Amino acid sequence: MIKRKMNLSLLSLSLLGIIFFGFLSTAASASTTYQLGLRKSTDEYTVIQYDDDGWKATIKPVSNPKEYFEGDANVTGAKSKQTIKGWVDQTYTTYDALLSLYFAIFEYIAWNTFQGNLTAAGYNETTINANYTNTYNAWYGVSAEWWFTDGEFEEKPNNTLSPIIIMKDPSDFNSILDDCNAIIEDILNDSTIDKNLKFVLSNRTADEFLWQLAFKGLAIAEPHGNYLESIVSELGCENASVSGSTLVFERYGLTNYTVEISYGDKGIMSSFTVKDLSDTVIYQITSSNSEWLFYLILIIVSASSVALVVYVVFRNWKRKR
Amino acid sequence: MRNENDFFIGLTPIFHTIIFEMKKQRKKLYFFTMVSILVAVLLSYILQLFPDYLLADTQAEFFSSGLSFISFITLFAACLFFSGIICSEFNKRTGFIVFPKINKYKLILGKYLGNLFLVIFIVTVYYIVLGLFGFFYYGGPINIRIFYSYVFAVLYVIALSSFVTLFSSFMKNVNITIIITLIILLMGFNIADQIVTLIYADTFEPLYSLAYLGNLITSVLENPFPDPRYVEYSFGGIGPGGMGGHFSFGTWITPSIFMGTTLLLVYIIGCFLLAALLFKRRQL
Repeated sequence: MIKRKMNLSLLSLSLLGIIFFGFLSTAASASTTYQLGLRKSTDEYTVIQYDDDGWKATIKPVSNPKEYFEGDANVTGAKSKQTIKGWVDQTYTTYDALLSLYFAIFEYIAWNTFQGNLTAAGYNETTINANYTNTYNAWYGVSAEWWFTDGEFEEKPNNTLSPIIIMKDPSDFNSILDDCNAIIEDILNDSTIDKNLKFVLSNRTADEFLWQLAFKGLAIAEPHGNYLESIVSELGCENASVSGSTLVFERYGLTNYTVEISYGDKGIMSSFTVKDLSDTVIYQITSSNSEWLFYLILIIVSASSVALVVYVVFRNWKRKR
Repeated sequence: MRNENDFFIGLTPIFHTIIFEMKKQRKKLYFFTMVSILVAVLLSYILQLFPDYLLADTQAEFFSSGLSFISFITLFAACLFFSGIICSEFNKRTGFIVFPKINKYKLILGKYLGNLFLVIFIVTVYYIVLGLFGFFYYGGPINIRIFYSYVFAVLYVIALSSFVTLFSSFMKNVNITIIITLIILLMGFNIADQIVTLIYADTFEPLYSLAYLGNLITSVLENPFPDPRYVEYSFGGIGPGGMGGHFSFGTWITPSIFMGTTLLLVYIIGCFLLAALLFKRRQL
């Protein structure tokens, strides 16, 4: 009997040990790299301030926030929302990175239009990946996106596959930029390439690349500050800086202005602020979610259930006595 | 005033039977409540812990996928809670008492209502858990169609319970009633639906089938409501040169809301009337 009990205790201890070792090793391996903070949830974005005159006087007379965000982004009080649906590990080849991260949409369209010319000149997927052998590991998330509206949200999202891209190593952005710039340089110097395509394609500076990424679903991993610092320093941005979890762009329109993009605990954009020369906010979007209300309800329900069970047990115990 | 008092005095035995039945069935209640919470948590939370298992685009789609097991839970619950309502009275010979202390119809009604409240409670718990997670992932407000779905789920539970009660009125044994009703509801209706669809395709809708009527619980969540409600898949020309027979198979997705509601009510009324008649006849 005693022997059996001892065996049982040993077995329990071994199982506990394995689980504990598993936790420790996970923590140890996880702490060496950046951590993904994404969670499946919905965030609502609200335009809390828009000064149309200030915008036109600072950025461009014929522009408005719709250039950055879809829908009624130029209406104070307009709302949009984003539901993070899930994510997978993804490896980008240089060709993938060129098409999905480096190119703006018009460049992507032109690239596809001149596909025959590019293939004949040796700029197809196989040759590009053979010449530029770097691969980049990322977390690729998808989200459902409801564009800004000043009314009620439609039931169905406007975009069901909006990308969220987080490079596991932020220094990869620099390699992508260098490789893609080199490819574009080659194409621009290649006499067999159609002039119309050359007219569309151009090299990017680090600042332009980062600015473009910010609107292409760039999200960040934890620790946020370090991750952002790493992106900005590795890319060698001149007009971008980091303050906490906020990426600050120094931009120039009619006058100088700054754009501050803050990232929340999930690593996606939590606020977007445009300030003019005198630091006056001319446009601001903030995000919110209802998770706290869920936890509040959960606490109330749990507490009520526990109280009920305690009451029933106590009543039964009292009756038996 | 006196009539009113008589009425309430007449209701008291039913009320007492309800309370008694609910207390008697509490172990089943705990079991099914735990199962429904576990299934709801598994479908709406545990599965979502896997990052590559994509969250549905909308709250309504999330509810729809979370409700895929509600028909099983309600079906098993109905069979286990209602199968003994009438036949246990005869099995234990209490149904043959010539001068009972309580009117037998009031007793059966009380037992039925007591069990019905318990099964509705189980369904409600399932919807609450699902609703909470829907709120967690998508925020408020909760999509109004989940409430429509809940109404259909309750209606479906009542129809199922009346169907099982009908079987309980003429079967001799509780266990046999459970087995027979489970076989009919789980397999019988589904097999019959498939045969009918294979023979009649879109010309005959399997509106007789409780399993088919139960599809309203999830299809009411869809926006827009499925139209057409009969879908046919066909393939062919797989032989050389595009030759070869053309095969097609169709399926009825859901009854219309009006027809579904009407037939569920017909089921409820019809089964209860038949059960009452059989119960009366059995006592003679």
